[in-house]
Amino acid sequence: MNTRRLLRAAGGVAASVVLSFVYLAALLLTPFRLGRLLRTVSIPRLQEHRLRTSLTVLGIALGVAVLIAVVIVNRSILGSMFATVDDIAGKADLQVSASGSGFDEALFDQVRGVPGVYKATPVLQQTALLRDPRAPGERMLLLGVDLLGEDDEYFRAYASTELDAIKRDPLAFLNSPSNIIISRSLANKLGYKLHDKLPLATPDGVKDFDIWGFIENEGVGRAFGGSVAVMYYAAMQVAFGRGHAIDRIDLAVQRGADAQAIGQRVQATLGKSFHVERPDRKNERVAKMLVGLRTGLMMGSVIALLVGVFLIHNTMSISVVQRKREIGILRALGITRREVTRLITLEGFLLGLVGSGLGVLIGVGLARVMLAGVSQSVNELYLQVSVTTLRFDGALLLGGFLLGVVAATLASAFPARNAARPSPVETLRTFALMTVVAPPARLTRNDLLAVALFALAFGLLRVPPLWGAPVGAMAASAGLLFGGALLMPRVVQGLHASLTPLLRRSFGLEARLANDNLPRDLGRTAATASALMVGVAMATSFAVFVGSLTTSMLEWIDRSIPADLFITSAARVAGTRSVPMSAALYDPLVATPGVELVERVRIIDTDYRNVPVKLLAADIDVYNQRAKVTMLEGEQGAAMQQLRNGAVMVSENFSRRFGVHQGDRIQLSVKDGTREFEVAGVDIDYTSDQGTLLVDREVYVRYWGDDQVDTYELYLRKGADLEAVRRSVTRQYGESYGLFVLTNREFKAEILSMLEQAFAVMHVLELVALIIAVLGVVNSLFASVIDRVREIGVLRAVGMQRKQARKMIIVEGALIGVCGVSGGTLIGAACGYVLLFHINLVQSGWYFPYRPNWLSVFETAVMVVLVAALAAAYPARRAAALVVADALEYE
Amino acid sequence: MINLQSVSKTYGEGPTRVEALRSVDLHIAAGQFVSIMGPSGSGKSTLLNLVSALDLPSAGKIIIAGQDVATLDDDALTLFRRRSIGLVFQFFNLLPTLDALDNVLLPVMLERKATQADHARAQQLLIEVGLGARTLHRMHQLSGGEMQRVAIARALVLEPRLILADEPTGNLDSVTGGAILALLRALCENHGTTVVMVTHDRNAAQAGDRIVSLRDGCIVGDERVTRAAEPAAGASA
Repeated sequence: MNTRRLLRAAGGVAASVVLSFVYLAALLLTPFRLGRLLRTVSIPRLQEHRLRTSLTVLGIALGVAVLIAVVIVNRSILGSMFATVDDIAGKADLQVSASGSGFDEALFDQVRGVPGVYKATPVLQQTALLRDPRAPGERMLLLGVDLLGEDDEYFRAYASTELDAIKRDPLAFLNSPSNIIISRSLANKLGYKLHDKLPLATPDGVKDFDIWGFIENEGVGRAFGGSVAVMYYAAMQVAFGRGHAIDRIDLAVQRGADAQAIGQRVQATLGKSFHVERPDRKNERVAKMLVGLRTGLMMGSVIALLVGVFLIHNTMSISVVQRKREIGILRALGITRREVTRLITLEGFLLGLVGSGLGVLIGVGLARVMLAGVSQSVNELYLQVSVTTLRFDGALLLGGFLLGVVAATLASAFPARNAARPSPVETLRTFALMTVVAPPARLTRNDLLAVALFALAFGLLRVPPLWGAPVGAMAASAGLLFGGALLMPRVVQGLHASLTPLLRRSFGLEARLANDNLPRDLGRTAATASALMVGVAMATSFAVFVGSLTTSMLEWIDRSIPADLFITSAARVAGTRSVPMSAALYDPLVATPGVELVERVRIIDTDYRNVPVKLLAADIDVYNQRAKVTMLEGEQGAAMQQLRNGAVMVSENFSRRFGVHQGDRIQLSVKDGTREFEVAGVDIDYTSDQGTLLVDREVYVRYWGDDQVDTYELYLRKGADLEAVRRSVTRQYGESYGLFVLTNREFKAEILSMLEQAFAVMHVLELVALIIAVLGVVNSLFASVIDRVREIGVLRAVGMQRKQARKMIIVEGALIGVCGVSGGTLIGAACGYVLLFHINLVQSGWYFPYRPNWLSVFETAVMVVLVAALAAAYPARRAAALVVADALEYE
Repeated sequence: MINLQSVSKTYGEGPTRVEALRSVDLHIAAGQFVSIMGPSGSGKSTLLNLVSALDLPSAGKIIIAGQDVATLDDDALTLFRRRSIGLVFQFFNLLPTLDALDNVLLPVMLERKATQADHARAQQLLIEVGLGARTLHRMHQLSGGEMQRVAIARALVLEPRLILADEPTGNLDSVTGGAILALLRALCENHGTTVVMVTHDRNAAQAGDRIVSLRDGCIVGDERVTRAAEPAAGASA
């Protein structure tokens, strides 16, 4: 009861705010006739329908909010990554980098010696997992720099008094590979003091590092959200098993020199596979990597806004129908058609103005909520990022605000034009009870337009991607949605006709009357159902995509990774969050009773043609023995033999993205330069949506100079006790290495959970779209109840009980839900096809057979129908509460 | 059949307070046809609303068919209305989405799933009101008089002991209105149904056995109607 009162009070306050604003606008416009009409005609009407006014404003607010939130989240994540790059790069003119496992530090001298290079310094950089029980899962950016070299000092200021002291007497600091300097903000957060021990996960297990100083919160100290630590790079090589590798060389060119020309000289010295680029170019590559995720979020938010547009269109349509008589009087009194159109459009504009303003505020709050989820997805799937601040500016908020206002104005312009079209005589006709609208037998203009849109969508699918973006496919999805909305009146009529025989016999009079009411105000029912349709279509297309992806991925795991146990460190599944383990674990694992074979897997980030991809190194003999690889080009046995001899296998999406095929030769950066590899075949591999290269572990160790392992995959002997082996491994190494030992089933469950996490934000967007659509159901049914006050009064007078009246309206809500679900499922299935075979194929290069998650589609359908019914509960209560005697006299 | 004891009904409070009925006493015996007359604002509609259990009195007691309506909650009142009272309105108030037969069956369908017997009875009622050939017609396909006949058939379908009619001829031409009155009269005479009709038309009121006149919420007249062999055949709206 209290919640209801609270909601009512909140609704009242919201409506008052909206009305105050409209009143203010009317006052400002008083010198014009339109302003006077606004005050005398529109405001009383908006006052009369306070709930509808509030819901409409809320709908547009949510649409704008989601759009703004998504843009802010995208911008914040990218901005945070860029800021980290900038903070760390300092004054570097150029940066030299190679593949994910780094390159030999011996190359440093070659680079330093290139004419025109003024300063150069080596850098190691990775994220490290803190093993402090006070901060489980806390990660930090660990930088290995040449703290004592003069050159490094040129690039970065560390703002650390302790470091200044170390530089004066460095020997003690350099003596141990476990000395570290951490950021002041991290120290404050976890209460670390000078010379406290900082436990970190390393390839050789958890090690304690000695805190020698603190970096203030500026420059390097604020990188990665302030969670940052610095070591001497040689010490970091030892502590983290990096051998002689470095990740980057920061370069400054001599004053007045041409940085680009010097960059080309460095490039010529090192080879094509090295990146010699300005630090901001790195940002572009990172941005490219996230383009799929960002596009998905943007599409979801645009759809939410689209549903908001449907809502305002619906509201204005209802308002126009209910004011038919009033508009007739105005027209009879000499108000022109143009003035009527302008007045209704102005109302939509003002509601859009308030809704968009509110949306901007909600959007900033929503961004804060969404940020954690999206950045976690980025962390799981792409790269480590720590986003602590929202990044937005006035232009972004203004843009979102204006988009909302324009959308609301356009959405109300069509009902406004319809309102002005009939003659005053037509609009002044009265109706004792609403007449029944006879279904149009012939094709309408909307039917033809819908067919044209579907045809256009089909044509758009043939448009090649523009600037790498599947623009044609996205436009085709929009065409399908709009076409579906235009056909919704037919869906309503079809559902009504098909249910009529059934409802004549079953489900009671209430259901029958509810069904009979569906086509009476066809435009209103169709508009409401269309909004639901868009939300359901979004959810369905997503279920098609996720279902197809998940099924394909699980099948791939079953065929290609059938190991019994998976051992990782620091994260349950190897990826950006895991900490690679020492190769020294291999022998004891092979010797563990019950273990037949052990496959070592290493996955690193690398680049191909300046685009980030994954390089996967595995023990090919074990892989070939146990995996059933789905080869698209080549034959497994022969390809594996080639891999042993130094070839690479490319994944299907790699092949599609770069046009690389069996027999081609590709250049990759290795530890000491560039090397050409033959492509042994093309296989199905879902390791990364960026594309994956598979090499034999021996080849990897030889050319990349890295022997660490991300996952040990254990194949047990026949009859071995899985749990016993797991217990044995965990007991011996689990504690010291922070290991996760997962069974095959758990591994798959973990992959599923990561996918769910990755798509969680999309589900939030779906939910918002559906909430907005449901607001439309409440709106529409309120209008329906108001239109039928007298009819409901008659029904009550002749013996309809309150509960029967409630049931009638609730069933009507559910039937509107069924209309939305019917259209939405069909359009969503088609949009899912577009998403799967056009948008996804362009963005990830992955081909997944069309295998929707029908259970999820069904759940969404049932949920939407139930929620639509639930949304009808309040209008139903109002209908049941009508005073019969008053209702009978209602005009 | 109907017993009103000191019934008053007031609307609003303070300066807006209106006394629609003032301590009205009225007894209507079973099988009587009573016409309620009076100018606008005299309390006719209020009286009808109270007798039809659509509203409750501010003071006094209303007993219909032995049932004190004030003791019933909303659900019970609704069921009582459905089963014991047939209502006929000036504007017919039929559902446009249903055909004539289903409009007649409406109270039955609110009560239970309509059986073959219910269909047969509704069909028979439509025949009795002269619409046997129009059972499947929708409301927009019927004339005003035909719609009112459907409304009367609807009022009779659950065989109520009481028919309440609010200006049943108010929206009809004189010939059609006369036919409707004859139908109500026949109900009373042939089936013993009690009929209470509100009208502002003296000629129409003559169709009843009694004419009760209201003015300013009080009964100011209660006269018996003496009629010749053919009652009120020429009554006009």
